[in-house]
Amino acid sequence: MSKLYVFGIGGTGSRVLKSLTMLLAAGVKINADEIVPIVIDPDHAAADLTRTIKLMQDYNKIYNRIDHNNYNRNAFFGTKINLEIIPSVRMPLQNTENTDFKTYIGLPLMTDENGKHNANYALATMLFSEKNLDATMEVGFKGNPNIGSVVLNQFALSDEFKHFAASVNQDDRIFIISSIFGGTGASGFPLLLKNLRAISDTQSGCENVKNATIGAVSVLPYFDVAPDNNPDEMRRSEIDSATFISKTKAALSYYEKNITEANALYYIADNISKQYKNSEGGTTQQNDAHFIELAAALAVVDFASLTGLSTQNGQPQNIVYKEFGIKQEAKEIAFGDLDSKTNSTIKKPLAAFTLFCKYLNEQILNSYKDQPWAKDHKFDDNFLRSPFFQSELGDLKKSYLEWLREMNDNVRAFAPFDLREKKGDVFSLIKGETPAKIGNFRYILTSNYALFDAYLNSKQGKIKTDSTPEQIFVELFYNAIERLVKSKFRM
Amino acid sequence: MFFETIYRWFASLFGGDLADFLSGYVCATEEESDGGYLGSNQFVTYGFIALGIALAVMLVYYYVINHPRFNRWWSWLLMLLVVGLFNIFIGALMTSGDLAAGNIDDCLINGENGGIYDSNCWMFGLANVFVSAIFFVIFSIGLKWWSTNCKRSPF
Repeated sequence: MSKLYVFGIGGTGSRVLKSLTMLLAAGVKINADEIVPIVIDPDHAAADLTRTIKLMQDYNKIYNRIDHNNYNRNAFFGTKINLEIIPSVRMPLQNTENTDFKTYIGLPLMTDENGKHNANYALATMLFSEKNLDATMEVGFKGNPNIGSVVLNQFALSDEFKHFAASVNQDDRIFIISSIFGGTGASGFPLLLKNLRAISDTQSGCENVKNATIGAVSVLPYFDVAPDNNPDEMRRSEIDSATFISKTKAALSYYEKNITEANALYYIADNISKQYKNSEGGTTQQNDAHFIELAAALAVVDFASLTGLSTQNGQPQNIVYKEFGIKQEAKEIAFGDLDSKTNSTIKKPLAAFTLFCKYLNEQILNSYKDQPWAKDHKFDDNFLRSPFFQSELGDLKKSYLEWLREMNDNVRAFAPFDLREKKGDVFSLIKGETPAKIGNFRYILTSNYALFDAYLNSKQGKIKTDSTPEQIFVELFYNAIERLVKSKFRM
Repeated sequence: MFFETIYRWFASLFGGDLADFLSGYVCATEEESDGGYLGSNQFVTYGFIALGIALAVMLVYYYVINHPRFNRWWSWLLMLLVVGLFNIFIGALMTSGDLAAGNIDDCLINGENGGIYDSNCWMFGLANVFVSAIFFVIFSIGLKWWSTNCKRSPF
């Protein structure tokens, strides 16, 4: 049982974890038995973080309700997201709530015996501006990696870090997701890497952590935030996208010299960006999903499949550097713009899961009362009112379609699907591709969701019935959709 | 006997005289002695036709059309209506043809049980509908389970 620990640092970390969860829900295969997500973000209320955690909790509930035996064909929700090792998913930071940075570092106590400011005080005020020192940290470090590099250094002391370290086995891997242009991610990544490689010898599991294969993706600027024109300078947002590039350059320069402990480093960037509303954090920090986050999630998938990486005494024997590219420049990326490797990883799973979600959204209420696939397995009103259907699968489906729409509307857009409700032309789903005609005479007069129902009806007799309704439901849909995708999309 | 028994459940609809004709009753004549059930039993013919139509429509519905958008209770009822339409015309037109062609003896046309008129022929057509409906229901219940899309129609 190999585990892949995925640390998501800051807002970008959460959003990439969300994309990874969507890929796993769709059945993208990853070379790990379990994913253990760990979020490091002082901004507990960040909407991106809470949305991601809710999504992973829903995923986990669905995963636990379905069988994962080899005789089942189902690939949806195929990889376990382990929420047992760190149930809260978050690696907590202590003493960051209701306090400002100067109190956190003990600035008022930096005095000599006469009560005058000492040399430490002078050094601190030289390194940190007045605005830095007065900054509160409930919503993160607001684009200030110099604050983050001090505060984040404490996470190795938390119980959650100890639980993590104790659970790492020899074959497990670790992956770190961070942005390079903000505050939390830019400062958290080097610190986390340092804490992992230089873990205390007294810590349980320290050898496995120290010598684990570690990968990381650094996300370079891919969005802007609108300038905050508040005339009150003290109330003006500290997030200024004009500094993103200079911060990135400074961080890259630091990484070049100092990040030598990772086995694989992925870099991803985009030169087109969308401007979001300026938010320092909290419940208003909710950026739309972006293709860059999906590509960064693919770095996790790629890293899990890498071979030949080894570490001795906390030092990687060789370091792999990777970037992500698309086949051709496009402001609206469709599958035809992606290279064959990316398509072979995501195209079929995403098409299949999108069909699944669209059917649940647009058709199931019209079908479940009449179709044999529903009546034979008692997928009735009670089933459709169950927590599984309503609040687990229902919420995840909603989030998935929202995720696709957000990427579709973003800049640069990832728009491989026509997500409009078109009951008369369901299979014109993949943009730029004409659905194939079905040669089988049996289905000559059957199209759209009727064809979907026909495939469900034809597959339902072959599903093992000695299982839970949830398992039968997911298995049945996967089987039918796999056949649909093969016959309509030639995949 | 099997078909006759079923049709006779509905004899009150189309009258005893027509029932006797269909059972093969021949009137007594002056040249020959007694009449009686000397002719062929036409209930068997009507019965096989009704059964054949019910079976054919059932097979078409469950195994040829077999469509996920035509598997509601009303779809099945529509097919029953088709069976009924075939059988009402077959029953009514064939018996009224016999009536018009003089194939029915006078003792039955003017019989003691109300005689035989065109209305009796149409009522026999209606009885034929009921008989064919019985066959259609039995065939549907017995043979629908192998239909992928319509196995749950009408229930």
